[in-house]
Amino acid sequence: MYPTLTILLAVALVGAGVTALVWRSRIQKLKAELSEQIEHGRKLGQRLTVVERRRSELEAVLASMVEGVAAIDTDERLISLNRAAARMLSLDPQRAVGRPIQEIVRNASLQSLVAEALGDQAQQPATQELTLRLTPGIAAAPGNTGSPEASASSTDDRAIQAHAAPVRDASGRRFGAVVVLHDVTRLRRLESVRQDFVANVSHEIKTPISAIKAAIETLIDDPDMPAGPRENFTGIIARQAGRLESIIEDLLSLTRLEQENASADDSILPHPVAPVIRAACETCQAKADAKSITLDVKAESLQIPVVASLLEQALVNLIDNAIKYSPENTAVRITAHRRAEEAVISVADEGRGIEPEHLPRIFERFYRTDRARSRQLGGTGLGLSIVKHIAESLGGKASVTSQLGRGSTFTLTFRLAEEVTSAATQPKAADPAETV
Amino acid sequence: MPLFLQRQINNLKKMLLNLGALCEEQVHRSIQAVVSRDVELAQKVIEGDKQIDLLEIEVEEECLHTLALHQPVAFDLRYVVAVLKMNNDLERIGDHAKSIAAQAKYLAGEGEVSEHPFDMNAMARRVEQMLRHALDAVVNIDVELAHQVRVLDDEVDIMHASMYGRAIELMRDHPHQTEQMVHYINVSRQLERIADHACNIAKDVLYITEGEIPRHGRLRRELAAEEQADADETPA
Repeated sequence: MYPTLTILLAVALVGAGVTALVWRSRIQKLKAELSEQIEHGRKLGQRLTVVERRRSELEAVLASMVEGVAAIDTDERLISLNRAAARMLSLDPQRAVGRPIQEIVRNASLQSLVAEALGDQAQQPATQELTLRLTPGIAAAPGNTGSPEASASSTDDRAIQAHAAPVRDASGRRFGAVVVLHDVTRLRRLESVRQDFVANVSHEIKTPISAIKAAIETLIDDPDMPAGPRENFTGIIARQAGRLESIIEDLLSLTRLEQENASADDSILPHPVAPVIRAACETCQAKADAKSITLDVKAESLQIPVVASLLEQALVNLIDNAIKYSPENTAVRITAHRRAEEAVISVADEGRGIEPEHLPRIFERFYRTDRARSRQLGGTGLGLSIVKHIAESLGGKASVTSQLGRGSTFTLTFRLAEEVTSAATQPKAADPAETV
Repeated sequence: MPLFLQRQINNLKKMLLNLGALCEEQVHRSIQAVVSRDVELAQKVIEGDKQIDLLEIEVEEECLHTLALHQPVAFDLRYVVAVLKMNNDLERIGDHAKSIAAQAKYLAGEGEVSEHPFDMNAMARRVEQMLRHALDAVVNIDVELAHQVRVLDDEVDIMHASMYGRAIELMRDHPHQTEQMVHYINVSRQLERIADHACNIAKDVLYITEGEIPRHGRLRRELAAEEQADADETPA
């Protein structure tokens, strides 16, 4: 009986020992695994913070970018967009995200660009230049879809250069596209201004130069030319050189105007008009006397916020024009008066007048109503353009009315000093001694 | 709604809006071509119309597919039918834009007129706004916006109607500009037609939501009243 019991006990003991051993190793293994897990978790946490930080870095970079960036999924739905993109496309990010691009941006070229980037053969990023009209879209910030007038002011065309590139995940599967938008409106505008300008300048400068060249070539070819014709040719050279000079002078003053325009905007102080008009008349007096034209000045005492030297130049140009196009023994009337909230300065002549079809374009650079005639009178084609530029740079307007055979009236309109400077230079504008 | 049908309808909407975007652009550019006397731009618009025509066919086929394969009912059926109709309106808008571009080409070759018979910028702005509102209404099925389009249409109609008198006056004053005037009248008419099509699109949006055809409302009300009167009389 005992031996059996002993054997059973021994077996049980051995079994328990073996089990204990097995469990121990197992527990140890589990322990090791657990600590490994904890370590792993810690690492994961670290990694997550790193990722999180990267993400916020990236978001900060995207948000502060001048370029618009938008991500789009394979169903052409908007995943996200940065602030610049929201502004360029006039979208409200909260309402736009998750909607198909066709719904939120109704621009055919942008849509086709996105489709191209999402297409099968898209490898390289596609680029396209779009014209976006900044009109409040369907997901635009509320309050923008008002009256036609309200939205008309925002219908400026913007030139936007857009790049779209497919985005792939780690396994190379495409899961969307990224569109980068770059606003090149200013650039394009400058380019077109420059092109027009260069074309006009080269034309205007080429004319006197070819005349000079022809005259010089004739003089060189014929060294024994008699004095009469020789004088004729040197006269041509002198005249054309003078023309060139005046064109260049006008161009320089236009350039100067543009630069001043950019810098001095707030620093314009109220200035009395009458002395400026007087100074301008004095400058032109000699030319007027030569044609026996009287300069008839009637100026109320007005204060307008202008740079005196610029206004004087504008007036000189206008008076000079008036004298040029007036017959002898007539009068040029220069008046300055108040009309409602505005100061109106006008220069009226009794010349032949301007045909109505030329009126809308007469302030354009190098625009001429009668090419032959105005050259003959020594115009550069820039005078009125300078006038308009000056008026606009001083916050005013230049306009013209004309009656054929009766004469033309050029008018400069400025806001009165009280109006413009009411906020900035209150005490000055309110001073009765100054305004009366 | 079955998922497939939902997907199909979303796709239809995308295609229609794509077509709409193209049309908006065409209209805008055609007017620009007239205003800035830009022959090149006008030519581009004329060529761009082909794309609209192709897209129109595509949308129509897609609509027919949807109808045949998914047999939508209620709202979905109205939606697909409305897309079919709006598709047609958009294509016509494209044609009008092309026609404006053709006028632009002619007008650019002639001398500038002394005065336009109508304020083209103001009218164009209203027409473009109508088209934009109409398409916006399609995007969100926005009844409010659709109603606005119909209000704007009245304004455009008035502008168009008052243009004739002015044009005739100008023709009398400047007989040598008669030909240009005729072309300007044409531009105005095309703009007015575009406005009408935009209005139709807006009405289709109302149809989608309300299930009632809002066109010729007065005529049908009158008919209904007559029928009612007849019905009242017979028992007596």
